[in-house]
Amino acid sequence: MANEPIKIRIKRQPGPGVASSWVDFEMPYRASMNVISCLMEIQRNPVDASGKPVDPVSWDCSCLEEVCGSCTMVINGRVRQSCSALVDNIRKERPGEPISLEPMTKFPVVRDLCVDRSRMFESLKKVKAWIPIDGTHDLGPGPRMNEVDRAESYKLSECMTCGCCVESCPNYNEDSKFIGPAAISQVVLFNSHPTGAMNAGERLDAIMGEGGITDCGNAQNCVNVCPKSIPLTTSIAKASRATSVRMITNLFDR
Amino acid sequence: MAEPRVAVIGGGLAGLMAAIRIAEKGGKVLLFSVVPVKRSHSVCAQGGINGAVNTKGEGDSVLQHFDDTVYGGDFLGDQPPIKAMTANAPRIIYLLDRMGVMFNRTPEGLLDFRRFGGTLYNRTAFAGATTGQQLLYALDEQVRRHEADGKVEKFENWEYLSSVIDDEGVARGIVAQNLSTMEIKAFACDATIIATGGPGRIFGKSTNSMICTGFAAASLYKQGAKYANGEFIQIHPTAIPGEDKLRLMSESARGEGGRVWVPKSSSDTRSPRQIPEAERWYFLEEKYPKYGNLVPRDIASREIHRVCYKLKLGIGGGAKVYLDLTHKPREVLNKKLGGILEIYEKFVGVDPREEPMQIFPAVHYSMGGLWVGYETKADGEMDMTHPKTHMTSIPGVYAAGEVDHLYHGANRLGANSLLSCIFSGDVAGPASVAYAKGLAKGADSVDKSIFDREVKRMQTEVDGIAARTGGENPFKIVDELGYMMLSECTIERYNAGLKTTRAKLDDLQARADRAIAGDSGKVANQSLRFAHQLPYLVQLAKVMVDGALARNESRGAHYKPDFEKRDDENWMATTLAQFDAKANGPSLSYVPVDARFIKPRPRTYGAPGN
Amino acid sequence: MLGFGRQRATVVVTTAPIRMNNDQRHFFYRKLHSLLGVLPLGGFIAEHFVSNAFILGGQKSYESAVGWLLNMPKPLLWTLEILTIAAPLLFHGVYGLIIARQAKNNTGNYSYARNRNFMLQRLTSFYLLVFIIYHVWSTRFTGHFTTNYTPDRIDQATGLIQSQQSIYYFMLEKLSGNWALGAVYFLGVASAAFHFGNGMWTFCIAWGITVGKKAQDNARVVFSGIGLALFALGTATVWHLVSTPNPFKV
Repeated sequence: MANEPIKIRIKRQPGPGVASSWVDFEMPYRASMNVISCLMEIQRNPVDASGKPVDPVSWDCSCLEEVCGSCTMVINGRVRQSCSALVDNIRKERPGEPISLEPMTKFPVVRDLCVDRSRMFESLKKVKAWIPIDGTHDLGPGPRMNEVDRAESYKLSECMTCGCCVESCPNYNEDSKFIGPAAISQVVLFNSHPTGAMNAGERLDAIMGEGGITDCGNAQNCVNVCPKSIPLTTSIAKASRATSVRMITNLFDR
Repeated sequence: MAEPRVAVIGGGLAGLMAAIRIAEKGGKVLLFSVVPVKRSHSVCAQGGINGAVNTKGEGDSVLQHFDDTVYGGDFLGDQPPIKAMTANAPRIIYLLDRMGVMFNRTPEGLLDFRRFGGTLYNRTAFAGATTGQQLLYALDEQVRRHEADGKVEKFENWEYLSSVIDDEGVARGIVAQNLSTMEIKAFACDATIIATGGPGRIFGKSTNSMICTGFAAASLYKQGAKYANGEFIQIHPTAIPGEDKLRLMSESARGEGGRVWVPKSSSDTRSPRQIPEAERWYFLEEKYPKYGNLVPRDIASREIHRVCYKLKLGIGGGAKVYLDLTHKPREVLNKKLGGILEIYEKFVGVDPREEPMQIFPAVHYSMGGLWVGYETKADGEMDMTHPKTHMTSIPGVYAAGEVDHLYHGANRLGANSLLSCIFSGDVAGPASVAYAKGLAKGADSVDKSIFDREVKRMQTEVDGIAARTGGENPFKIVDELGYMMLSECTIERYNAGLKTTRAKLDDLQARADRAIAGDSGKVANQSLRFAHQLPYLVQLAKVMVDGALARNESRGAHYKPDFEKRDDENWMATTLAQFDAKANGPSLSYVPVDARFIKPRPRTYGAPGN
Repeated sequence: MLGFGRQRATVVVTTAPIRMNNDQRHFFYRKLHSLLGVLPLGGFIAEHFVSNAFILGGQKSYESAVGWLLNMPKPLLWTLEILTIAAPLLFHGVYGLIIARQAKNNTGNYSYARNRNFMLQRLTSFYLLVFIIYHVWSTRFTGHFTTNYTPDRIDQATGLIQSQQSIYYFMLEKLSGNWALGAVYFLGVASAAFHFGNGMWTFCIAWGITVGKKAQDNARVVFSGIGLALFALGTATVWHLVSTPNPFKV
C-alpha cells in the first residue's frame, strides 16, 4: 500500500457555469507528499490515468503552510486545506479507493478546483470587521489589555477566511443568506476589543437581520472542520447572547 | 486635476500600508493583487516585529536598533533610510496595537517583547507565532474600511504585467491581467507602487509562498528599472524540509530559548532525547558565547551548512540538525510559539514539544530588489515626504516592501522585515501622492495610444505563448532553474560554479522563451500565466548570479570561501543591475554606500579568533 | 468581556413600536420561533407527557390528574388553548418549516452527532406536524370533547363509572390492541421528546445562555436526560394504552 502509485479523481469543470466531470490521475508515490505536490505533479506532466494528455488542473494555493487560506477544497468528501492533507493520511480514509478532489460546493466555480469566495469577504465588510481608528497618525500605544482576554481574542483573530466552516454548514448555501460562522466570530473578536467595543452596536445590528445570527441552526460542523481550531460555536453563542440582550434593551430603552 | 490615482501592486504589508496612507491623503487607490489580499505572503511571517520601545528596563534605544540593523546588514545598507525606519518603529508598533493586533501582553497588560537574532535586547513585539498574519489582517481590515468608503478599489485575482511608460519615460499607468477571465487591460494612474514581495520561486523550493515569483520586479527591470543588490539572498537557518516547499521554523523558536545541536558522532543512532548532554555539540553556543543561538541568519546558516557538509556531522550524516525546545514547559511553548509548533507537528507528524525538531537552512528573503532612491534633509536624515523618496529609477513608479532594496544591506535581521514592509509602505504611499499632486498633467490626459501600445505588447506576448507548440513544460524548466540556483548561488559561492551557472542560464533562457502552456483553457489558465512569467524569472536569476560573480568579497549573506574577508575598500557599494537588451542580461554598475552615521567595523558577533 | 452593544441602534425607530424593517422582522420572528418552542410549547409538552403518564395508575389516577382541565369553564379553556397551544403551535410549526427548508443536510460527509441531531430536529418537525394535526383532530375535535355518551355500567368494587364518557376509556378504546396506531403514537412520542430535548439545548445557545463548550456539553447531558425521561414516560403511556384490554370491546 505504502509505496503504491497515488490514484486521484478530480472533479473538473472547464469554466464557470458549465458541466463538470470526473477525471482520474495516477502518479508515482514519494514520501511526505501532500495533495498540493500531487497537483504540481499533474502540472509537470498533464496526462490522465490512461496516459492521454489533458489540460493541467487549476487550483488555488499560496503559502502551503496553512496560514493563507487559499487552498481549501473538498478532499474525500470533506472540506479542508489541501496543503496539510498528507497523502499518507488521506489514503487511509478510503482504503483501495482513489483520493477524490472537488471544488467547494458553496461558491461559484471558476475552473476545476478554483472557486470565487468573494461572498465571505463581502460579509466582513457588512459586519464592519475592523477597529475604526481615527488615522495612522501617532497617538501613542493602544489600550491596555489583560493577557487572558487577549489570548481568547487571539484564537479568533487567526481566522484566514478559508471557507471550511461555511462549506460544512448546512444552513449556508446558494439559497440562504446566512452570513456564516467566520463573520459572526469576527463580530465577537472586534466587539471584545476595548476600542472595537465602542462600535459594538453597529456590528450587532449587522447580524440581527436576515442571514444573521438567528440563521445558525447549531449543526456545529464549523467548529469540527475549522483548520485553526477556532471556537466558532462559542463565538456564535456569545454573539447570540449579545444580540438577545440588545433586542431586549432596544425594546425597553427607547 | 482630479484626486490623485495611485495603483498599488500587491496586497501584503507594504502594499496595504501604502494604500491606507494614500486613502488618508485623499488619493484614490487601485489595489491589485494576484490573490485576495488577505492571502498575501506576509501571513507567513511568524516571529514578530522589531521596535526599540524599551519597556523591558534594558536601556534599549532606537539608535541601538539602528546600529544593530546596520551591523547586521554588514554595512551595505544606506544609513539614512535605516535610521528613519528604526526611529519610526515604536510608532508603527503602537499604530498596529491601536488597529487591534492581538500582541502578546505582559501581566500588566502592556505589549510583551521577546529576543530575536542579531541583538542582545528584547525588542520584538509578537502575536503568538503568527505575527505576520496578525499584522496583515489588521491592515487588511483598515483597507476594507477604506474600500467600504470608496477610497480603495480592489482588483483581486489580477496580475500586474507591466507599466505603461510614455515617450518621456514617465510611468502613466499599468497593464494587468485578470487571472480568471485572462483579460489584459490598461489602467491609467498617476503613480504606481510595486509591493510584490520576493523572488523565492526562482530557487524552486524556498520558505516563500507560491505567489512570490519576482515577476513584477523582473518585468519592471526589463522595462528599464534598476535592480539593486540582487546577489544578496537570505538563507534562513531553520526550515522544515518538505516535498512541495521548505516551511519556515521561525527564529522566535531560538528567541524563546531553542538550542541548535548535533550529536558529536554522526553515527549516533539514538533518538535525540536519549543522547546525554556531554555527547551533544551546541556548535553555535560554543562559537558565539555572547549571542549563542541568536547570531544573525547568514552566520547561523553558514555554520549549519559547515557542520553538515564540511564536517559531515549532520543528523545521521545527512543535511539536518536539531532545533531543541523540549527543555521548555509545554504551556509556555503553546502560548508563545503555538502556531509554528503546530505547523511542524502537522507536516512532520512529530510533536516538537516532546522531540527536538530536525531542520535545515532554506532560501528565505531577498535583501536586494528594485532600486529606490531617497532624499535627505539638511541634517542628513531621510526626507520621508519627498516625492522622490522610495521612487524607482522610472519616474512615477515606487517600490515598497521586500521588493525594494533599501533597508537590510547584506543581511536582514529577524523581525526587521515586518517593520521595513510597513515602514516602506508608510513612506511610499504619501510620497506617491505628493508626486501625483505635483504632476503638470495627470494620467487621465495622456493619449490613449500610449496605453493601447502597452496592452498590445503584453497581449502579443501572451497570445504568442498560447499559440506555441512543441516547447517544454514551464514547470519542469523552473525545477531546473531552482536546482541550479540552490546549488551555486546560496550559502557558499564559488566563481567557477557561478560562471558555469551563468552559461547554463543563457541556455535556460532560450528554453524558457520557448516554453509552452500546454493548456487550452480559456479561464484561470495557470500554465499559460506561468509560461509567461518564466522567461522573466530567468532574467532575474541572471541578475543574482552576475552580481554574485562580480562581488569578490564576503559580506553578509554573500559568502565566497575564496574571498573570505569583507572588502570595504572596493566593495562597500550597492550593486545596480540594468537590463541590456543586446546582451539579453544585466549590465552592472556600483554606487557607494551612504554610511554617514556609523563607521564600518568588523562584524564578529564576539566570536573568538575573528 | 463581550460588549453587548451599549451603543444605540443606528436606525432609531421612533414611529409605531410594531413597525419593523425586513431585517428586524426576520430577527424578531426567529427569536419568537425559538422562544415559543420553550414557552409555552416546551412547557406544554412536558405537562402533557407528565399528565398523561398518570394513565399508568389507572382510570382514577388519570382522571384526577386531568380533571382540572376537563372541569375548567369552557371560555377559559378555549382561551388558554388558543393562546398557549394553538397559536404558538401554528406559528412554531409553520415558521419552523420555512427554517427547515433553508438547510441542505450533509450528514453523509460530516457525520458528527451534532450534525445528525440538526437533521433529526428537522425530520422530527415534519413528522410532528402531521402527527399533531391528526392527534388534535382525533382527540380534541372528533372524540371525547364533542360526543355525548351515556353511562354503561358501574364498577361494583370501585364505584367508578366505566363509561366511554370517561376520558380514560376514550383513549383506551382508541389504542387498545391497536398496535399500528400505537406505533404512530410511539413515533410521535419519540419525535416530540427528541425535538423538545434538542430544541431546549439549541435554545440555550441561541439565547446565549450556554456559551462555552463545557457549558454546552453540560446542557447536553441535562436535556438529554429530560428528553429521555419524557420519552420513557410517553412510551410507557402508549404501551399501557395499547396493551390494556378494552372492556367495551365485545
